[in-house]
Amino acid sequence: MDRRKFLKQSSLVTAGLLVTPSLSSAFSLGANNDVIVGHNSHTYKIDLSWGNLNPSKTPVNDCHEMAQDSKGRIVLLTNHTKNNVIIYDKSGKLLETWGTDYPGAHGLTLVKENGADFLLITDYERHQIIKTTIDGKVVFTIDYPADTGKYNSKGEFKPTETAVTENGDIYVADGYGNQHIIHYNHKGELQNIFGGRGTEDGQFLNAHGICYDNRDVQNPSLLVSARELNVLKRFDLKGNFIESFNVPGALICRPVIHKKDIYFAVLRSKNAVNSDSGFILIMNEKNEVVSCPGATSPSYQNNELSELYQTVRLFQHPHDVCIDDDENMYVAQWNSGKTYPIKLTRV
Amino acid sequence: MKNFMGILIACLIFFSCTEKKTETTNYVQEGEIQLAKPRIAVSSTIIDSFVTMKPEIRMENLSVFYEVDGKKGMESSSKVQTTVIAEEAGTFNFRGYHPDWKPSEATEIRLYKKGFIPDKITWQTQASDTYKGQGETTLINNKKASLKFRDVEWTGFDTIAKATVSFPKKTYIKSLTIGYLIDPKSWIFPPEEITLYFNDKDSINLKIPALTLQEIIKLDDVKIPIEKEINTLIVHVKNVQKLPDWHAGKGLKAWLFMDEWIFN
Repeated sequence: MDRRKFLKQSSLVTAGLLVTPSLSSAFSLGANNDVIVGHNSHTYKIDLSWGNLNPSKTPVNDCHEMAQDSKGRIVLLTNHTKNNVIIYDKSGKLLETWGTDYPGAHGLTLVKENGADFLLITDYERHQIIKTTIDGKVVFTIDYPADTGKYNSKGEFKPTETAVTENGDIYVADGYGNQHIIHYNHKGELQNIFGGRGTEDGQFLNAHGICYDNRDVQNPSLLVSARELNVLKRFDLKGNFIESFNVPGALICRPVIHKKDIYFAVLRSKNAVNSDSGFILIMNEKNEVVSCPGATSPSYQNNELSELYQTVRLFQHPHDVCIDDDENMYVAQWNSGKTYPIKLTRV
Repeated sequence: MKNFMGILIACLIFFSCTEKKTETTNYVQEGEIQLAKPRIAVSSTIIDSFVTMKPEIRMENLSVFYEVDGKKGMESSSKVQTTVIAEEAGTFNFRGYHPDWKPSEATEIRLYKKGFIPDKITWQTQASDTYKGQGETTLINNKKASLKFRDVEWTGFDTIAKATVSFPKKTYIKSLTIGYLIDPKSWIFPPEEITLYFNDKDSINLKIPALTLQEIIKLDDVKIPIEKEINTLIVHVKNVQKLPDWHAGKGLKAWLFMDEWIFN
């Protein structure tokens, strides 16, 4: 065979291989058409199959919140009382479940004390905060703050979230109740109460989430989401209002600080026709919105953030996010047809 | 040479297999998830001379196409360059298209020709204090409301709405269009029945089919042909008296929210 004939034949063989469907992907390195969501520095691929389990064995109702523990495991809190806590590894493999006594399981905060992990669960149906070990043993409970004089009965207290400082102090957001922030010491003893229902600087309409912000170590503070107002508010640790950040159109759930950024699940877009119009919102260390996976690209005009809203029907009612040590994100959803969390892999 | 060819093919198959392993993915692919309905800024939905409709393009590579009066398919669609100008009444459906995402459902915009404005409207029953619109003439002020029931252009009744509409002189009225809101989660349903009385002896009665869709928020309307010269028109619009079994308020009365009565 001469060289010309060989080239012709070998190119035919190669062409044959390329057009054979089962083999053609050998050369289609870019053949996957994975879609990307997000903007600027924070973009993601979407994995809808992460963490899917057999619903007859390990069911969920609303997936309310998630956290990563010291072992790198992903802890999910649901209000299904067959298994209120579901623990996965990062690949989505089920590791263990526990918890049958938390019908209103809503807020989940991981607390590290002397090398051990604990959880703080808020239960708005039990009107309590429950501290447990990472494997589900109850350490103590906190009932409604009767001593404050701000509550007539325990039914008015419907806590949605907790935040814990380095010294173990606990701040509770009563987001479905009377809209106060209640401050306890590490033993669960009442220290202070502030906030309340309203639209003033220091008040809330749906104080849904709270977190401790120690990114500025000299000036630690609290961030509280006023979800119905589409505002994130900052307070000092004594409860004095400092500043607020408007996020027009975004019903933000709890703020989640990971490294220098703040992440939020946005339950829904304020002016959308459909209620299942949520998305994700990410702020940088200057508290500027830099990325909104599933929504409009963030833009500022005269230092005012333009209204944000859902652009793709990816999320239904995102309720919380968890960022793992690989920068990937897990999204827990409320009222989404009993679906398991969605994983967003950072690109 | 045969050996060389064999090696070449083996290499190709090897790379094929190894590459396939790395290509296994659970990630969402192009065209699997749908775009949300596009947002359209409309100058007015009642046409005096013309109205403008402008899609908000807040997503890279998003295109918006529109169809008029039920024509379907891309071939009858027009791409919106910047703004759509309409001088005639009609139903416009806007859809979003993007290379990465499944096309959106349609955002429907209904445009109405400005109607004849009556001289006077006298109410025999009153709207709710909370949802009394802009006053007694809200339904004839040529302003449509939004999808939000708290919009001040809505007039909300939890009972039958009864009013007498007077024209300055005997006027040929071709039809009456009654605009209303459908928002069953907020207990707001279409009218159950509409009756018009005019010229002392004439009347028209219309029953509206019961709502079956549960997950919907929509502006809708009913056009009632009259085709008579009239001086005074009595309008009765009955709210749904018993909410259906599928509703949380089963057996109770529904709210009736109207934004405009258009006389053509």
